[in-house]
Amino acid sequence: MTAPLRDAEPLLVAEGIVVEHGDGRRGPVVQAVSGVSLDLTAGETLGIVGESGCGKSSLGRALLQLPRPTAGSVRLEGVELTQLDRRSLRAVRSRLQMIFQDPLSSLNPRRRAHELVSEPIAIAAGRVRPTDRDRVRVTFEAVGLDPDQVWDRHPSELSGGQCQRLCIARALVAGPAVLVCDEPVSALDVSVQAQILNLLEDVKAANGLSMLFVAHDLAVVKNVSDRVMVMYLGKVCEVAPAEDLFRRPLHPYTDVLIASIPDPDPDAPGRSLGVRGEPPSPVDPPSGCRFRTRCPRADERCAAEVPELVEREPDHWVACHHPSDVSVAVATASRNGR
Amino acid sequence: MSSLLEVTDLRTTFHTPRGLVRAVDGVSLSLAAGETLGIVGESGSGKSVLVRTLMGLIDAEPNASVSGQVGFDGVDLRALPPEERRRYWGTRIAMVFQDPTTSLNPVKSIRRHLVEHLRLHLSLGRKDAVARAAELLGEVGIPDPRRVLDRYPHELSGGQCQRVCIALALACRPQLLIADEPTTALDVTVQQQILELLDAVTSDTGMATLFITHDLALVNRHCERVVVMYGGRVAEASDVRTLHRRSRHPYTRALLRSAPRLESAPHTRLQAIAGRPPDLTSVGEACAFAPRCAHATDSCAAAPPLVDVGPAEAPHLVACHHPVLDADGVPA
Repeated sequence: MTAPLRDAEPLLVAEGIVVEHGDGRRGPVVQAVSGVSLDLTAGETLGIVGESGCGKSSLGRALLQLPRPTAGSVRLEGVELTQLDRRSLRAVRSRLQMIFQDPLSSLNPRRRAHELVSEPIAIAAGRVRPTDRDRVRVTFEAVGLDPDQVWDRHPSELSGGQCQRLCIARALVAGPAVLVCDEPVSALDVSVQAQILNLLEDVKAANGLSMLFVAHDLAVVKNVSDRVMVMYLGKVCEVAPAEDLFRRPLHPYTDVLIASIPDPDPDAPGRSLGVRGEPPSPVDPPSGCRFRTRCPRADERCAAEVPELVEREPDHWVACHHPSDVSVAVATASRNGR
Repeated sequence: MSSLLEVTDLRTTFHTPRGLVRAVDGVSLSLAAGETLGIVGESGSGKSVLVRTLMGLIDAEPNASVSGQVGFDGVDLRALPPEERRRYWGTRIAMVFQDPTTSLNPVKSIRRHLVEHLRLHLSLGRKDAVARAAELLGEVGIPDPRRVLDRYPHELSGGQCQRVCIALALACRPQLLIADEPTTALDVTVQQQILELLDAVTSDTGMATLFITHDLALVNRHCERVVVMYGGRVAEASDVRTLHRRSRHPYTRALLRSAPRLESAPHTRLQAIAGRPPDLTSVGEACAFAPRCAHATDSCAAAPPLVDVGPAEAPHLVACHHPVLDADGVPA
C-alpha cells in the first residue's frame, strides 16, 4: 500500500504497519492493524477515527513501539524505530510522547504532581537537578496548572481535567516532536473537554509539535485535525484533509460515521444510517473489502478483491471499489445538512 | 394530564469523612404516561444518584440519608415497606444500564436471564417462557433469536448485549423505563440503532421513559422534555425546543456552546467553560455554577429559586439569579 506522501519532508513515516495480538497457542491470532501506512509532517495534526476494534489505538501504540508492530517500519526524524534496542529506543521516546484516555489510571497514584512531571527528566538525564525545578514549574504553567496549588498533590486529589493537564505536562517536559493522543478527552466531562482541546492546540502551536489524534468522536477529530484518516477493521478506508473529508466523503463508511452523529437541533430531519448491525469480529474479517458486509453498495467484486487505497482527488485517498461520485457526494453532504 | 411519576423535593445526602455531600439537593420532577424526559448532567451533577434514589437503591447505604417523595401512579414508593416496593421493580418500572456487558450475569445464558425473569414476574410455564423469550429477542431486533438464547453474554457484541438488556426491561411491559446512559458504552453506529429501537418500543407500548445522559444532542433527538442538572440541583427544565433555542441558564448556554461542532472549520477555538465541576462538599447554599459563571455576582451566594419563565402551556424552569435574556443572548 502506498503512503499518501506529500511535498514536505515528513517527520514521522510509518509503512505497512501490521499489529497482531495473541501468539496463536491460546486462541486465534487477531490482526488489529493490517498494513497501514501514514506520514506526519512538522506541525501537522493527523486525526484517526473509527469504531472500537478498528485498530486505531493499536496503530497509535505501534508507532511508539508499545509494543513493536508485528511488521512494518516506523521512521521518526529519519531513525528507524522498529530496529532500535531498548536503550536507544528510550532516548528516542522523549521525541515521541503519548497521552492516554484515562488520565487517572495513567498516573502513578502514589506520586505527587511535581514528581510525576519530573519523571521524564529523570529518565532522560538519569537524575533531577535542582535547576530542573524551574523547568517543571514552567511546564505546569504551560498546561494551566498553578504550581503552588498542585505541586504536592496526588492524582486522586485532582479532578479528571487537572489529571489530563498533568499528563500533557509529563509529555511536554520530555521535549517531544510528536504527540500521540489516544482518546485524550473521551473520559472527561463535556464542559472540560473543550478546555483540554484548546490546551492541546495551544501547546502544539507553542512547541511546534505534530500530533496524531486518535478518537471516535468525529466532531472532536475535525476540530483538531489538518488531515483525517478513517479506519475500519484494521484497514484504512479514507484519508483526506479534514474539511474535504467531511464535506465530500468518498467512502460509504465515512458517510455512515458522519450520519451517525446526532444533530443537536430537535427539528433537524432525522438522518438514516443506511447500515445495520455492528462491525464483524477482527478475528475473522470478511474477504475483500472489510466493510462489504454492512455496505449498501457492496457487490461480488467487493467480496473478491481487496480495494487499494488510491488518490481520487488531490490528497484525498480512498480504498473502495464504489467510491461516491464527487457530484453525488456533494448532494449527500447537503442533504445531511453538512 | 396526571403524571405517572411525581418526584417531590428529593434529597440524597452522603455523610463522608470530608463532610456532607448533597448529591441530590431538592429535585422535583414529573413525568406523564408515555412521555420521554431527558436528564442531562456531567459527572457530579447528581443524575445517577437521582436515579438510584428513585429505584430505592440508596436506602441500603449506611452513610446516606434520603428525604422527599417518589410518587408512582399515585403511590409514594418511599413510604412503602421494601418487600412491597420490590414488586414494582422489573414489572412496572424497569431499568437499562450503561454497560450492557457487566449488567448481565456472565455465567448465565441469555435463555436463563430471560426465562428466570419471565417465570418470576409473569408466572409463565417453562415452555411458554422460552417461546416468549425468543419473541422478545425478535422484538429488539436480534436476528435468529433461538440461537442467541443459547449464547452467553461474552459471546455477544456490546450492542447485542444492550438489546438483550432492553428485552429484559421490556419483558413485563413496564409503565416506566429508566435508561441510564444506555448508549454511552457503544459505538456511534450502534448507538443510533439502539436509540431507534428505544424510540420504537416506547412509542409502541406507550411507556414513559426517563433518559439519563451527558449528551444534550441525544436528548434533543429522543426526548420531549429535558431537565439539566448541575451540582445536585435542577438548573433548567423545559421542552427540548425551548432549551435548544432559548435556554436561559448560563450553564446550559455554556454547555451548548462548548461542544465542538461538525459544521465548524478545523481548528475553530472552542468556547470552553472555565474551572471544574463543583465539589459537592463545599457548595452549601450558593449557586453551584457561580464559580464558573461569567454573570455571577454577590447575590449568587444565596440559593437561586427555580422560577417558571415560560408561557402557561409550556413551563420553562430556571434556577438562576441572572438568567440570560432570551431575545439576543444579552445577559440580564
